Amino acid sequence: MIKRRKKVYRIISLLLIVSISIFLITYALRDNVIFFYSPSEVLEKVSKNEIVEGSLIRLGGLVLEDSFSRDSNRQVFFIITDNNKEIFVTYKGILPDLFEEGQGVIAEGFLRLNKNSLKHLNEYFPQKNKVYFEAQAVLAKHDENYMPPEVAESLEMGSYRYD
Amino acid sequence: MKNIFIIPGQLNKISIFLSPWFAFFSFILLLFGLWLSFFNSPIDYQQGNAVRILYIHAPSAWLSMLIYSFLAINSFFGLVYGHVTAFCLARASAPIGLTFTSICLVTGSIWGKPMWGTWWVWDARLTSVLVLFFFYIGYIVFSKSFTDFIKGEKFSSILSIIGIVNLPIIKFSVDYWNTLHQPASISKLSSPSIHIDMLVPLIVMFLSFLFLFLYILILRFQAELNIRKININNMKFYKES
Repeated sequence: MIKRRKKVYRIISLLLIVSISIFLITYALRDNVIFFYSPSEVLEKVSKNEIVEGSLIRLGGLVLEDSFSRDSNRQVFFIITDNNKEIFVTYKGILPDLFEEGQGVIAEGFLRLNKNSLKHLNEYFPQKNKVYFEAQAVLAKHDENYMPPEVAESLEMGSYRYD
Repeated sequence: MKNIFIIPGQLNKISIFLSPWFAFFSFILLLFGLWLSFFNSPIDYQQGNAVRILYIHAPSAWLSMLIYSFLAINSFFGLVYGHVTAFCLARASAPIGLTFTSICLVTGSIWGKPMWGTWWVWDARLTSVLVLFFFYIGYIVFSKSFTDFIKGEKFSSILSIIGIVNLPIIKFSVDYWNTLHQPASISKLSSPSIHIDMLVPLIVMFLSFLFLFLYILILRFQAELNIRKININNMKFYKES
């Protein structure tokens, strides 16, 4: 019986050691474990100089309503917001099917300084924003709600695309 | 009652009686669930028809975690009490769990491409499920790579118990960290965020997969018992000669 109890204690202490070490590792690497930064986090890190111009990061949030536009070179512009701070994003490429205004989105790319060369950017943020985001890839993020279009319409969960 | 799960012959008898029933339930529920999920469930307001991958993806994801906890708990009882049945059940369940984890990863990938716009990203949820996949492979490889099979049983059991730390990480990864993967839909008790017409096929498919797991588990358990008998005979033979 004593031997059996010893075994249980050994297994429990093994589990404790492993879980504490995993916790410490994930805590130390917490900036790398998270998949994307919100606009507020990015702007905060920019002000602390933790993110400088040209760092490769992922920026996530909602596409601001009425911010999407497209120019003649098929370059697209939109604003990612977390309902607190906003960052202007430029992108050239194929957008995922779920992409639309108000939808969750994650952009991977580089942070750039605003050199007053982007017409759209200066329209949205006259003389106030110092940075914009040059996306290399755009991923759509959907939420955990699943429902038929009719229900979504009656709940007014934004626009629905399937008739 | 307690002896039923400990004496190999007893559990073998019961499993012979139960296995056709599990096979029957699994087959009927699979037919019903597939019919529901393909022909009698609504499309999603955002994802359209692609939401039907959910009915394969989510049940296999749940089962991959359920089977891993089954494996680890059996390994624990095997290690502490030395029950033969516990070791055999653990070894029997590992390849089934590995299969469900692969189904989960592959269907998730196929779902991710049209919806998110990528096959794979290294976010916390996807990576932790990949780690679960490697734990299954590690367990299977470890339990078969010792000439002394009792030693192999012991070390692979310890490995599987370590792996249980990964299960809460998988479960809460979508809540603690920013991930591309969306948070849980079902376990939110406050408000059900999945429509009832979509919930029913999901549950039916889950039950079908669960009975399929139990059926294959019984078949593999009987095989593992026989393999163990052969191994013990071989060991006696080597010791005598």
